[in-house]
Amino acid sequence: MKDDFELIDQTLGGDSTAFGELVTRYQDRLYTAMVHVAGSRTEAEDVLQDAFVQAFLKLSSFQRSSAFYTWLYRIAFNLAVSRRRRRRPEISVDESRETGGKEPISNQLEASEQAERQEGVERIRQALAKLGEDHRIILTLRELEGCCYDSIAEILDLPVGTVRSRIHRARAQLRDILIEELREPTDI
Amino acid sequence: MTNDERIRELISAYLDYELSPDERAYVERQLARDSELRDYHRELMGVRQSLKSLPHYEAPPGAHSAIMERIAAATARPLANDSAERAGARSRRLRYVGWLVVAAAAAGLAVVLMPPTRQPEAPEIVEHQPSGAPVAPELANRPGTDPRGELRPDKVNDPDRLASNQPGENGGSARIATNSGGGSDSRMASVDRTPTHPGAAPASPPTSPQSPGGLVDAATIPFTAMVVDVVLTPRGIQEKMFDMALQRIDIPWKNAIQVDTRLERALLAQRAFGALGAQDLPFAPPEPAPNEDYFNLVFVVARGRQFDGLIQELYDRRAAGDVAAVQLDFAMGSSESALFVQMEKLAEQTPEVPASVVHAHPVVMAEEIRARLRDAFVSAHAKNGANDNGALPAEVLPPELGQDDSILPPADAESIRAMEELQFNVLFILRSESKARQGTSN
Repeated sequence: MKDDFELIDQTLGGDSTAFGELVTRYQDRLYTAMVHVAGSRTEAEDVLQDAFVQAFLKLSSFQRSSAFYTWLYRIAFNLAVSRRRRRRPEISVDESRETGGKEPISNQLEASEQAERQEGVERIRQALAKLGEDHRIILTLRELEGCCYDSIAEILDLPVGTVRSRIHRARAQLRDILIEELREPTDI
Repeated sequence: MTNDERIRELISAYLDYELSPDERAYVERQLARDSELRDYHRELMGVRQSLKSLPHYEAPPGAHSAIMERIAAATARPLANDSAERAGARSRRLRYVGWLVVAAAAAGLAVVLMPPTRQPEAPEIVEHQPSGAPVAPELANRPGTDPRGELRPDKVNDPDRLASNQPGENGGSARIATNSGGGSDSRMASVDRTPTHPGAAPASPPTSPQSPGGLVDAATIPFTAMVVDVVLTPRGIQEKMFDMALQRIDIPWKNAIQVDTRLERALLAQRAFGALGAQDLPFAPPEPAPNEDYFNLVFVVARGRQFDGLIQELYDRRAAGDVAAVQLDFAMGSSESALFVQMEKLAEQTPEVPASVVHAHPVVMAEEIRARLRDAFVSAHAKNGANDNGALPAEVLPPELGQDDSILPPADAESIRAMEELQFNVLFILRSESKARQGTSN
């Protein structure tokens, strides 16, 4: 299987199907990330498409000092942030419950277990959505994308030290939100 | 920033393995002496684990087509058939099947490690040692063993499945290596390991070897530990590539224990400790392929993000011709975190056992660990809806894995949390050339 740079070379040589392979390779991962960054699946889909198209059009400017996905992610991230800032701030919590995507939940779990798991996931989603944008984005990069600090620094154009402190503050804030939610009385 | 804020920030970075050795040591000292900091550490780990429980999604249907159409419109060029391209691209994909904490295995096996007294001829470890070797009382009459400590074969998997290296009922079991090796003699052999047949075409890394973050890393699939098969070429063996890689990445090299050839071949045939006691196998393990030299098993214990560095190293070395194949394998971690904690503590606390016991019982010990892992795996399978064959329903598997039956299922979120808590020790299963193979007949 060809590596990313080979596919990029082919694409730049005129073979756009090679780029199609890159799309296949990374679309799910990028989409997942953008769901959390953008806050909704609809928005994430738009960002996904825009990001790949933009990456294709700018491919000759990719300098290969980082992984292709890092570069792609940065494009997507910038698009998501700029789109989000242009539109009214609303978090589509209900949309996050759409079943359009495949989620790794077994259909053989007991219904109560599934519900409990879904509830837990939903709690985390909502807590994540309550974070400030910077914190949500950096946690997405770190925890969901598994990016190291250097990669995050590159994507967000931040010093590594800032990445480190921001991740900590984001985790601490999320921790506080989750603790607070556990303290809230439940509706009867 | 106050001192308290600073240490807390360091604890956060400590979770990510982003500290220098000095900083890491400092944090560990602070954690050891301050229970509040330990609580904080645990809370941050909980936050991380919570986030990792978030699902991953597939891109919406049609997204790929829409993207390519937009590109075509932008460039006013026709596109080739989309589905054909995807099919071709999948054909040689390296399947990394998941992640395992073989913390349990590694921890337990660490107990039976012996000093690097490598012997050129493979000792018959599965057989009874001379009378000087004591039999550990707890092992003397274990089910499945005879009083000498030899294992009797367990229920054997379907030979057809085994012949094709499909996972049998133990398909999710850990590949546990117990083998002796000194660093100077850890020769590796070249074998094609992907998909799983000897002589199969070597796997290619899915992305650029220049991009560690985008290679085979935890970001692609939501797991945190792995089992890795690494097969070195003769040149890699000669240059002690793996030893040097481990040293560079500061992964402690645990000497392995040499197993006899028959056991080795049984392990190869089953990809796990299925039925030990190769002389009783009802089938003949597959003959090595012409380019397949025979192996000793060795293993190392690695922690956390050392994985990333090692995997990158391996892929780089593959490009350089030192590594024949890297297969990321997977076995189910335990959903019972207490089990792994227990085994890790055992590894930390127990000094090396006497060589006689090691010689007599390493396989037995591994069997015990394997059984525990298998039980944990089975229970985790049940939780995730595995069928009787141990394979998970397709819809549970990450889409990258496709429908390859040789792929073992991924860990559930709970197991991942357990792995995170342990800062996962991981077992690498390697293969090396066995001098003992030469002249050994089956």
